[in-house]
Amino acid sequence: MSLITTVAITTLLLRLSGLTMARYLSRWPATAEALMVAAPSLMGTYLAIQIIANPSLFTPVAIAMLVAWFTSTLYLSFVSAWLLLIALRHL
Amino acid sequence: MSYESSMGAARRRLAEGTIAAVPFLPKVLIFGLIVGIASRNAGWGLTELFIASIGVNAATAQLAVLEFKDDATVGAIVALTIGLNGKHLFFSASLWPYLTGPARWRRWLTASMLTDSSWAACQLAAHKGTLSVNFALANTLVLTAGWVSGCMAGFFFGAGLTPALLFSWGMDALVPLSMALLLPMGFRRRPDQILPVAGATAMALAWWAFTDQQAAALLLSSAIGMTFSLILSKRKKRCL
Repeated sequence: MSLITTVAITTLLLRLSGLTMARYLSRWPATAEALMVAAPSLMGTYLAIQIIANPSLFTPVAIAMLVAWFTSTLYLSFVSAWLLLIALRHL
Repeated sequence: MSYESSMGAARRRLAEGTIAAVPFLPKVLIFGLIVGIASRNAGWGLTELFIASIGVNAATAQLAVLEFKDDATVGAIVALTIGLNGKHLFFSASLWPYLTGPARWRRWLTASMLTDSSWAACQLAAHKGTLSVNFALANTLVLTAGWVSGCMAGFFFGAGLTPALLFSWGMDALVPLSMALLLPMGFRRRPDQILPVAGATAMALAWWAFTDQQAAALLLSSAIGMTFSLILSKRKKRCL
């Protein structure tokens, strides 16, 4: 039980530290602006790792990105890419 | 804004946050089922699983805990957790500008339950301009409830579920697909972010290729992206 408690407390502190860190960094406009790049950088890396680990994601992800780029419709792009992925995996 | 209209707006955001959690619920429930089955197979009790699913609320960390022996030192456990869950630091940090409002407890409660799925749902809402602390709170509450329910269901009845079934229905792809939508839309709005993001992704991928540490690579990419952005903004100021 102490193992679970340690992991839970550490995870909770990490989640809450993000708020404190962002609040502290927001004192400097350039740093606050740079913080806005943290999320897309994390997304880019996460996406690339997922595709390398699982290449069947490449086509649906590419389709989703193209549809989102040209139409700016979130849910249409999401559902079309997900259905395409299911179709590809059942073929 | 009058008291009634502000209450109405808050309720609307709570409802929107709840609805936005729905597309992610199948993934959360099914991964919860898998963690529930693995926990039962590892000899855990219901109380341990309940505390882990509420307190940790992250599949990879919960599965890693199952592998740990009781004689592991606190330092090793903390280091492992930081390695696996360090990305949550940037998850909550990136949502901070939106989590404003008089009730601070909502901000802290939201951050304490933030996961990959709820962060992706909140980022989608941020792009649509509907993200607020009430939206995020409702979203994280629904997804946490889904996660705990999935873990409990897996503990009791999850024997029929296999990773192959999960894969064939694309449950592993929900979060990556959300991110695939957010990136181009974000770049269209802010083309100046393309360069730092591309640089950070390339360097973090190189790190991942050498170390095979996915969580550390994600943490690194956020830090590198911020550093690149700072360097570029300084150079731009110098040129002006």
